[in-house]
Amino acid sequence: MDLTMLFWGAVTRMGQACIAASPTILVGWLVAAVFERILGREGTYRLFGGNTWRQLPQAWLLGMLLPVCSLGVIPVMVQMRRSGISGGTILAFGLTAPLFNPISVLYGLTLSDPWAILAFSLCSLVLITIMGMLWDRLFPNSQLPPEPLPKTPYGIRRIAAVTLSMCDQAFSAASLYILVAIAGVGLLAAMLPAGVLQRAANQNDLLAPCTMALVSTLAYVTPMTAIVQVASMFQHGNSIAASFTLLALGTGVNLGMLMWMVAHYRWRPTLCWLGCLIAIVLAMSYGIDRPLQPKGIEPADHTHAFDIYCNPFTTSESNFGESTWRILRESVHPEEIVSMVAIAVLLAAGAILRLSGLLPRWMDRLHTWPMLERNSKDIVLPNSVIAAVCFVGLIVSSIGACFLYYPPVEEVRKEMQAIEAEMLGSYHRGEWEKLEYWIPIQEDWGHKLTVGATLRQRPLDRYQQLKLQVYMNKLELLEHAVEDRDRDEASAFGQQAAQAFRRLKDALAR
Amino acid sequence: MEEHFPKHWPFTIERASQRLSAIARDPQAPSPVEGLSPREEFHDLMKWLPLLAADSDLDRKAFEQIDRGALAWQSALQVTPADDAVFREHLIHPDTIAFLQSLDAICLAERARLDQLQQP
Repeated sequence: MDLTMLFWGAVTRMGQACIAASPTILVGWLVAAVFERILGREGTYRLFGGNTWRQLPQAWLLGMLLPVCSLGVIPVMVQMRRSGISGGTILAFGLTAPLFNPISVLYGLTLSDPWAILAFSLCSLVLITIMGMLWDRLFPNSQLPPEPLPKTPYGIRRIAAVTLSMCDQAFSAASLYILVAIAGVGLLAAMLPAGVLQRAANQNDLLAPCTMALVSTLAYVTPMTAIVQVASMFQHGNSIAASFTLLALGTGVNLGMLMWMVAHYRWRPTLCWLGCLIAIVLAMSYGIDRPLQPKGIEPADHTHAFDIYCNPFTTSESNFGESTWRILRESVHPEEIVSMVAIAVLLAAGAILRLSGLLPRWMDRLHTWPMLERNSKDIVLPNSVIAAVCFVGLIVSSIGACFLYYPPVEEVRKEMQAIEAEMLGSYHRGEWEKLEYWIPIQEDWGHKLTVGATLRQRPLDRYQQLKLQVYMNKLELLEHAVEDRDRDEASAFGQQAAQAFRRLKDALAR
Repeated sequence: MEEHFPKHWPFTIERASQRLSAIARDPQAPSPVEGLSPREEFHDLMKWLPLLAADSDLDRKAFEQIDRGALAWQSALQVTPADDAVFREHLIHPDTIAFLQSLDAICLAERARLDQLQQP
């Protein structure tokens, strides 16, 4: 066993998880700060339906709308607990929030069977309702009395209080659980050799959902990655049962969240909850497998969707440190750089303010600071209105982000053409690393092409769809040839891909 | 390269058309692929036709003609039990014959166009 390879494999996967999670962790801190300083304890309690029958469906709906992942949801769960919300509702929200967000649902609706995504959403509602009710029945009175919190005054002080609260969230125990979750990703990568899951989700493999359940509890998947994987599993005719298990457990649960539960609710309830969750998810998975099986698709005998959970390195690799750095560099997108900088600033500010004891003093000062002279035309907005604007703003900006994330067809075509030009000739020369970098990006643009066209209510017609499908198939064949380092095949498939792209471009121009 | 495709994958629309015509002419002749009946091969080829047409330089009109015919065949067999007797009945159906003839004509025209392009 090569310990250096296991170590660097784990470091690479943990680094990738940190990069991918950075935007949603930031959103998690913002939502937690809004809950704490704008909604307040009582407002948060009411937002989640108080002690009525509405608490579980409301937790599901809010979870569907807020763009957080299973790491970003931890600080939000902390705030919910401090607000006196029941354990069942907190866990229901914690499970649903990472599963879907507006961008990922749109992606799923366009690229998978829309009925499947609707079925998955409804299954998640049923799942969290059962789990929430079961929890509250088995472990009643698991909620804490709401912690006292002075009302945040309006104006600039309210904005300052939210910023301070975000620093506080960043340097808090919740961040330790986030680190534990990331360590879980490293542990998984160290345990799973490269490519070991490639045949773990075949259509007729009855054990596929069980394998997926074993793996995905430790895994961390962003909502977007999960929906891309689900869509890919549909397109390749993989096991639908495994796909739902991956979505529910891989996206919803991680080691950090489980440790948070242990710390707050103890071992027995946590293990009981996890056991019930896995059992219900598996029962649902097997139930929906046949009815949702896509028709007319040749089932693939393997998938690369789960390679990201395994060790990226094989024993043939020699310079692990350099490869890790290259993989991490290639994984970063511009929005993630911005989020990582913001996270670093908040963490540093949180550490300085907490360790120096300035944070509580500044927060107290914000509450006692004398009011500035008010302009007579100023309107003092109640906290509930501000909170509503924040949430509606988040949803509206998510919709706006959909249009940015999925550009118009013409723009996507130009991007794809530039990448095709980058790849041109690389397959003849055997420039494997260059191709390994560009092929997934090109595949991503291919998916965005379909979603972007549908979003603008000008969906691709069947001629264009099939031209795109042919191109994507050729890219996948090229990807396999690159993995096998087979220069003849790469050359042949690369040429075919270039030809298929030319035809796609012509089809889109009409 | 072959490991990525089913054994009876025809690679081009032209070869698919030739195999379809051959099976239609003699549905009793065994398939070149071991363990595969002519009915299964015919059905798979019909299913793959739209993708093969998209993987060629055929224009939109020809593509749509092939796509319509292939989809019609598939939907017809979805509501009919697909045993050998029904299959042979479908083969001699005027719509199937007309479709295979038009597919053949499209492929011949495309071959002629490509040959002309290759001439100095």
